[in-house]
Amino acid sequence: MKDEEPIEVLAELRDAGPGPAAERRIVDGARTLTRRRSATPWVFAGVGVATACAAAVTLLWASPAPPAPPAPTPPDVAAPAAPVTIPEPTAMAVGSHRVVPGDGAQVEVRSNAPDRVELELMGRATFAVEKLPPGGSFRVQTAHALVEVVGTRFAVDAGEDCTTVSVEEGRVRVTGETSRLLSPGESTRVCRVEPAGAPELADLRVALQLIDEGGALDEAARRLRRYADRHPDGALLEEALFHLSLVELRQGRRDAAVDAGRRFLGRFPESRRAATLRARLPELGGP
Amino acid sequence: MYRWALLRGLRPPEAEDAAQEVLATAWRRIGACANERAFDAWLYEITRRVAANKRRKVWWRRVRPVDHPIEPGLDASGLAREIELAVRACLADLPPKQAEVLVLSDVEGYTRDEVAAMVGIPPGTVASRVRLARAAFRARWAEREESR
Repeated sequence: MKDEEPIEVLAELRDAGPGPAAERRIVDGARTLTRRRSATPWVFAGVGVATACAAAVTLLWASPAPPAPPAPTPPDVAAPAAPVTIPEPTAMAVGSHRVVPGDGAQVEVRSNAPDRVELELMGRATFAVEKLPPGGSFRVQTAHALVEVVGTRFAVDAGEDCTTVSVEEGRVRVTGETSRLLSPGESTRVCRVEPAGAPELADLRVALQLIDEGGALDEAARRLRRYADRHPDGALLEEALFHLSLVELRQGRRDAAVDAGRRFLGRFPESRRAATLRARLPELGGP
Repeated sequence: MYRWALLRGLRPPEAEDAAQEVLATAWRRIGACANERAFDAWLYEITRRVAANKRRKVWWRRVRPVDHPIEPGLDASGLAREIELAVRACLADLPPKQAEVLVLSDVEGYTRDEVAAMVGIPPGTVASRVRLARAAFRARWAEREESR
């Protein structure tokens, strides 16, 4: 990119537009707005100029380069539009993804990086997740479960005692005390089963938050270690050991990092994160 | 419409909303379009107004800058995401009037006279504004490259 003439670079954007999913949302949303706002129906056919302009709308949509030549079919606004489900009026955007919180639901965005979205939810919300980049993640943390997107469209209802997850499209992994992969049409309910464990879960949450925010890493490591020691079979042990190893490494405590890494690999040898740890810690038998 | 809104500093979800609104308005008010030749200017006027409203609604971002990275919003084969983000970052640093004519002329490919009709300024002013905008854009680009 260094040698490119910057003004020429501008022209490279000429053929770029929204992705197919975004384009669909725009057209569907415009149809919805049109239906909602049109107090009196307007006549589309029979008006020469209007037809020409509408044709140009279509063309401009496909290829915005001027001038707009005559085009085939104008947008079919008179016909009944396809049912629009996304976006809904209350949809909230998180990066390129959409979240529709239910009444009274609280959604907190903990991370909104393009390749890593983490939300915390209390209440009910529906999620429409765009295709994730390789290695990307979209996670929803409730008081009882960590919901991780492997596919695309699902609903989470996080109540006081239980969290219910149902999947419409794609696949979603739900991790409570155990982990389960949900397919379309399936749902699962994860409830509080171990009130005594709550403080340790809080340990893990606080630790991950400290890491995210670049806070006190010593404190994060202490909490992760405590969680891992007290929950040798905990559902979130993988999360704890992985981050513990990285935090120790960032703190310059290589031996402790290797130790945590070995525990991780011993328990989760098939984990996708194993490669990350091996790459950072050749002592673990890296590539 | 979407691309224009995005390059004028809106984030992808805001640009989507703006494009929805422009399209809906264009569909509803197509009868107000004077003739086919004036269509681009007519549509641009709607886009400009809608985008300005959106930008007003996110005024707090200018007052309280949030350290959010620019999210990629364009999709095209051959377009490096890095280039998109770099262009948008540089455009965001330009004075709004300069960024506007630069996008219309060098991204969208409109002629000087067409830009003049769309923005409502004399062609000579467009030319000088584009010249200044290009110089400013090159300078931002160079600064960015140096800081890499």
